[in-house]
Amino acid sequence: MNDSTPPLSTPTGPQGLGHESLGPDGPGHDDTGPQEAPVLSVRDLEVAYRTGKQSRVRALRGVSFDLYPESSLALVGESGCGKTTLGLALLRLLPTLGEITGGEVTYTGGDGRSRDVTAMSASQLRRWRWSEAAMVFQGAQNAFNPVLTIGQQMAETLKDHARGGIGRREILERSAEALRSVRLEPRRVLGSYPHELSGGMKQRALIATGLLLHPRLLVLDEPTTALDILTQRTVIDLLAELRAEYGFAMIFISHDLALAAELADRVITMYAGKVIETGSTQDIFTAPKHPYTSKLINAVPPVTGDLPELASIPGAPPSLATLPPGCAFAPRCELATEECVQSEPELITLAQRPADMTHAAACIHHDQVHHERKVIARA
Amino acid sequence: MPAPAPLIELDGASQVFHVKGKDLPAVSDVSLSVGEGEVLCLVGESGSGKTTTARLAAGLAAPTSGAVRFEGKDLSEMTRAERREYRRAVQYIHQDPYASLNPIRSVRSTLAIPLKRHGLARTAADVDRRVDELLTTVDLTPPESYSAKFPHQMSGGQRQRVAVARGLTLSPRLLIADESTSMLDVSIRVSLLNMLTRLRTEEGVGFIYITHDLALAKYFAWEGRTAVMYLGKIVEVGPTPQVINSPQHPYTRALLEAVPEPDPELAAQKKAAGGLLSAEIPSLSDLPSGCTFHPRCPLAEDRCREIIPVLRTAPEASAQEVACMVVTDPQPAASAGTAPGGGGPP
Amino acid sequence: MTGAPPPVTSAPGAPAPERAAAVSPLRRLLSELTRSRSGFVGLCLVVAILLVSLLGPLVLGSQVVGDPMRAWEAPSGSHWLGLEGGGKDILHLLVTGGTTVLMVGFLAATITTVIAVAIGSLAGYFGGRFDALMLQLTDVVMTVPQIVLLAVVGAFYKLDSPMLLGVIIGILSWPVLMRSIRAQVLSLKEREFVEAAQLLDVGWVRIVFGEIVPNMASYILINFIIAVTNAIYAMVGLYLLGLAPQKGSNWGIMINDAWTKGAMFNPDAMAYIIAPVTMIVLLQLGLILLTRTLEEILNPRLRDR
Repeated sequence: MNDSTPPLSTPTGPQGLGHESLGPDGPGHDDTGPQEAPVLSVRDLEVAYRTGKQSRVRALRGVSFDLYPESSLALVGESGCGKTTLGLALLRLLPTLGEITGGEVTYTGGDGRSRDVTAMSASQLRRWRWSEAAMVFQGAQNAFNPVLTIGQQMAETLKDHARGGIGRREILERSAEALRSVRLEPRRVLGSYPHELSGGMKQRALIATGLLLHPRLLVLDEPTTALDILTQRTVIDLLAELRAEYGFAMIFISHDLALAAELADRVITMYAGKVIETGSTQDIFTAPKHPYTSKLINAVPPVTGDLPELASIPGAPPSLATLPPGCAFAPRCELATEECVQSEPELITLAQRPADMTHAAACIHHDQVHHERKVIARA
Repeated sequence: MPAPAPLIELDGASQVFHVKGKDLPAVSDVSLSVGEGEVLCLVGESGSGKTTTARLAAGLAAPTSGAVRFEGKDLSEMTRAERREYRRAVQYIHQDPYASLNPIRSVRSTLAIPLKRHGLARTAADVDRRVDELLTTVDLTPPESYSAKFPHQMSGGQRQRVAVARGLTLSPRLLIADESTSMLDVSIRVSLLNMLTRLRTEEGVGFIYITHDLALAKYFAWEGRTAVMYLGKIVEVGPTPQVINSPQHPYTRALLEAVPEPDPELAAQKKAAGGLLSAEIPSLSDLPSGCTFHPRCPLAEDRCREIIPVLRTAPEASAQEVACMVVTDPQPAASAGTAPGGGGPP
Repeated sequence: MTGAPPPVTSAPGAPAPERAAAVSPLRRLLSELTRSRSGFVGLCLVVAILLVSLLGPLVLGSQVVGDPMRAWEAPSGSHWLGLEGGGKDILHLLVTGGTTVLMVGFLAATITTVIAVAIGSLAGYFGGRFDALMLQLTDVVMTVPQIVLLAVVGAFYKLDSPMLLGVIIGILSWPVLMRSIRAQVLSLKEREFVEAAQLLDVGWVRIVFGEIVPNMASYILINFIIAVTNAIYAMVGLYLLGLAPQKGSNWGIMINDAWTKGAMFNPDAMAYIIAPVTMIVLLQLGLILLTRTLEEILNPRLRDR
């Protein structure tokens, strides 16, 4: 493993601000002048779940990132690494056993006003959710109430969250518009019950409900899991189009890295409740610097080109109640050394980029991560 | 002596369901075969009939017409003893590990029942030894820490492994694995596939693998064959590398286009909606005339509305059979309104 | 520790599960049983009545001897509930009168449950002609009026054994439970684990009684208890109406006796009618409350929470 041939794209400096030049390896994002304030600014977010009368486990440990308007961020990792918890915590939708125990989530609206989401009251949250930030939950099959029509459920969302009341006609117009935007026929869908729609149509109707009030932030939890491949493709294409059309910022949660490659400008890899790598989609996919990210990418089969060997990651993510000492990934990592067990590594900046696209990885051996796929058959 | 009959053979098998007075032809006239140590991948959307086809092969349903044969013997004409042998030789692994394990049974008890019933383990010590072996085969190690667990105490991936171990209790020669949806984590899915591949190469177990994702078909069945199904029919079949690298049927191409790529540059080149005209699969109760794919097909010509295509060898890819007239029997460019030349891979 | 951010570390959380595992099994059982407070009250009531009815006759003697000269004596220090028309001690009668009630209740419920589970699960699993036949049988049994049948049977045969009464009640009351068992089997048999068992060729006996029925265990147990309460009501009702032979002593006979002898108009004898009614009510209440605890313990999803 420890061969000495210098790899192609590792930062030459020991660590830190090695590559600041944007030129060669940053074609994914052209810099567009001065940046607006981020829609969402998350600092040191901590979430704990109660597991007993006295005991709690830390589900999120010091998560920080900025999300800029109209950008798209993918949260990736295996199940149980905290990505869904993060999505729920951002909108204060945690289940009753979960609690934000520290940190800040600052939301900046279109009017330029900033608010701390963690400090909002229940009525403030009610107004804020859906109109400013919406969530599309996992499992379109169960997200709708089976005894109400799609139209009734959309009307309820509008009545509950629209500013300063809303008339019948406007409800109808807005619902129809939202459905048309996801390429559904309003006349057919509004009066339908959930079971009368196919899985893909339900997923699209769910996205339409999220977009009813034109939020600036849309959080999607596994938007394409359990959908057929062609339906998946439709939803992926649709989300890309909608983002261009409505200009919302998007956070989506997925265990499938292929989805991130398709939809995200930027990727955050999570492990054991921490951000362990962050960077532009380009940086992450061409030269991941955390061994975990590299292995996650190598577990996804590509359909184009050579046939690579796919390797699973041995073992399973640690239980949050009994985290191993030092780097939480060390027990599953082939690069792990004594040092890894001693203290938990912090994010190390590998390449500075604007708009929080900075590539950083929490691995002291990041210069030994040579991302490549072993080819077993040529195309 | 003639060549040995394949393990499982479907010969013009059809399955028609009767639902609310309507006939739903879930599988129509499907022929395929799998031998010892071979792998066949069935690919298609939900509603394409891939799961029903697999259930026919597994003897979970009897075909309405046509035949299913095990080593040359028709399932419907088997004696009790032959049926028993078939039952032991062919096993089916369900796609949903949350539904396929009995919630009240521990892992050991789940595996012990078939072992005892078929006399493969007589004493408690025998059972323990076999259970440990099976759990080791499916990488649930150390086996002692799993054998006493109940399904609700395990993760989805671990449950799926137990389901595979149960399928292996009778030392089957053919495993039919249904993975029509991708609910498992990518890493878990890959380790399962690698484990199944090991069973095939080391123990000669044959496989029918069902998926909607051609990337998985490519990985799992590279040394075998892939059959693409659409509305109950096979529309393209051939060796996996050829089907993936030079797809002939427009539906196969759409499925390939639709697969998300773990590479941002390749992903950017994907065609919207896989190049299809419609994202929704027609209902089985109201099938389109002629070629059932024509309403969604970017290559459709007038004749596709009338003539039902049959599987033919593709002119430009001799290893594959394709059910598409535009590809196998191109009309002169003048009269073909839409696709010039017709059929050559891009 | 509400506001402060870092107090939750992974370290204090870690030993918690081990501590939980180290708790003695007896403690665990107790915590399981007290999970539902009303359920625990029910359990205590049932256990108390069972103990009194099973051990009481051993201590006090199962035969109650009375002195007819002291009929209808008011409650006193030596006879807490007073004496009845034959001069027998009411408390003693109350203690000995529970045995029959409980035995008939449990016997009838056992018969009902066994028949219902066996027929219901087989009819649901196999369907077809057997199912149709069994459904028609339930129609027939359900239309037979229990009380009238017992009156008729009682007219021709000597129903002098309460056990025979229990058997008749049991044989007549299975159809409702059978239908709901059958409905559950219809949905359970479509589950994939049943198909997996079929694929492994383990035989229908194992599939029905080894894979499907155990999944209804909590449902069956709860319905068994409900069947006990129903059987007790049916039996007491028959005694009260005088349709069952007034032989021996039990709470039903006591109520009938009190009723026919006009005890309710005699303030000194009020206990004779109130005491057995109270015992029956407490027993029934206890059984119903007990089902709550059973639900909590037997439902694995509730249990792990």
